[in-house]
Amino acid sequence: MSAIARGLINPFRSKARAVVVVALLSLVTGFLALMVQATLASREQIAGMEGRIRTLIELREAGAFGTGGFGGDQPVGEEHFSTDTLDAVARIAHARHLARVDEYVYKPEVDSAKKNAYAMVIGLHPGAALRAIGEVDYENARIVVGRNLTAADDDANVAIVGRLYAEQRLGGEQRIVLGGRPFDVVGTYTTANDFGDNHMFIPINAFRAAFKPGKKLSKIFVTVDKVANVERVVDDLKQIAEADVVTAPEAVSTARTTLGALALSSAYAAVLLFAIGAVVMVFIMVLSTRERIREIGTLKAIGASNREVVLQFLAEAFGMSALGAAGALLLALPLAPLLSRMLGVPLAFDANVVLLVLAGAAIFAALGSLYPVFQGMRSSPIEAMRRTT
Amino acid sequence: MNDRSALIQLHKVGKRYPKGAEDVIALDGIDLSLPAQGMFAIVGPSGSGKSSLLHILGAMDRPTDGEVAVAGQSLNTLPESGLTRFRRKTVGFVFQSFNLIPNLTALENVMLPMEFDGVPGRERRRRASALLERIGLAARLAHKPRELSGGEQQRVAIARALANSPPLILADEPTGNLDSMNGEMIYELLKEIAVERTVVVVTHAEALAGMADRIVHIRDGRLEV
Repeated sequence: MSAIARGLINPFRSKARAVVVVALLSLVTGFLALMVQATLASREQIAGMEGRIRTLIELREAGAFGTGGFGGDQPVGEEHFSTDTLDAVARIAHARHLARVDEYVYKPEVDSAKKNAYAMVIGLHPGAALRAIGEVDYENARIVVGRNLTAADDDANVAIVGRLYAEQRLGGEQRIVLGGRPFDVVGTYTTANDFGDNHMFIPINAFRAAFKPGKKLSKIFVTVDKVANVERVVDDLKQIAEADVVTAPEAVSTARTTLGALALSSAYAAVLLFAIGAVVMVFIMVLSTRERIREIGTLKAIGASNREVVLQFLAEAFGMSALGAAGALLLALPLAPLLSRMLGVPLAFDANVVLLVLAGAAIFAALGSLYPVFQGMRSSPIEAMRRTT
Repeated sequence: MNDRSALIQLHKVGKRYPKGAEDVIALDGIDLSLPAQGMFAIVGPSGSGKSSLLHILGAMDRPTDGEVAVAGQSLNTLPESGLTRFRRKTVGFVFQSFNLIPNLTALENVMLPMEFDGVPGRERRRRASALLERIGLAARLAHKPRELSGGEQQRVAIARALANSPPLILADEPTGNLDSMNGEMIYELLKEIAVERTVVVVTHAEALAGMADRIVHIRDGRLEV
């Protein structure tokens, strides 16, 4: 039986301990690989998002208040910010990627009987994101009472209202009148912000029937082909009188903060897991070596060279790590989609995970081998045999 | 150092261990010559230097003074790799507590020194089986040490010591952990193998010492005449 074969069977002298160690290594190595991948995926997302957002320019009606369009809206037929504006944008060099966003159309609704009682009616395709408006757009609206709009609501006169609107304006009623038409309130949403919670969403077909917006657009999103061309395109867009140009530095900043925090916590988790894995492996190998220090002495006394002793312990450490890696791969298979859902980053069981698991296992094995190799090289047969622990 | 027929020649061998500010003298000016065949017992009280002498003979430790030559090799000048080779080919060790590798079978334990010596797998299996048969353990080849009695384990250890047919067998209290019946069996076995090689036994057991061709007395690190 060669030194390598002896090393590979050595962990199983104590089967219970081998099972615990392999299970621990599997957990640590599996999570380590996934956390490293999560960190990389988050960073990649940040870079991608930065690239996208930096080249994204928003246009809205000149004089509009905030993002809501208050004060800037013109009567139907007199609107300037319309599909004609879109044609003007299309003629600007480098502004090649245009996104006309017309599924959200806004209509201010002011209740003169109440102070500061204004809201926005937002027309959207049922199923689209509930993008509430305020100082910034709130894209995190979630239903807290009732239900969301569904495809079946396409032509229905139904509405979802914000939490604040429901509290201050509905007064227990489940029906509102918009553009002279009655709408049933089927749900309440919240963005956890009073500005964002003071609006209502209705199907876009019902919006068009009630408010007849004509060619009017709410916003135009322009994507510039390269970051380097953004400033030039912004200058050109500013020449369009009916449009205000809004770039999105705060959106970049928010995205950086959110994803950056995720990347950082994933990185911290990876570092912590790496430390745990290293400690487990080093501890178990130190324990094994100390338990078998007399055995090292015996092997040397009967003719084993340093190389053979070291090879045996290297095989033991790498064998155990390899089992840990196999367990880690089995574990990562179901964990990857689960973590992906929990963290919101595109995390998949792929070649990267396999490589990371193998790399982690190899590093753990190398670290775990240091002490046995040191002892194997250093101990003279008689010194090793004199030691009992 | 001029007896060409001797297997072991020691000239003014000393061994000191540092202990605090002072040195402990384990061996002091040992002169000893032992022939290439026979059984020799080293006896003396605890701490007299018996085991230190055995370890120096087996290249497990180096002397601090004097010259040691075994089978024509000067152990003073051999490099570490040379000492490893010496332990592999020239000497076989038998320990008081057997020191078998617990997760290897009797056969695998006996094959180990041959593996270190580069003997091909099939050959070492054949030789190890033959050795175990010779010492009456043919039925125990696949047994692990914990499945063997103390006497059987020591016999496996002796077979392991004989694996590479070394000219010198060193046994450190080989019956110290055995009952009298098993002890006697080991005495007989050592006596038998001493017919064709040198066996040096460190022992407290008078019966075993009495079977030796020569008894070497040691006290306070010096040989007693």
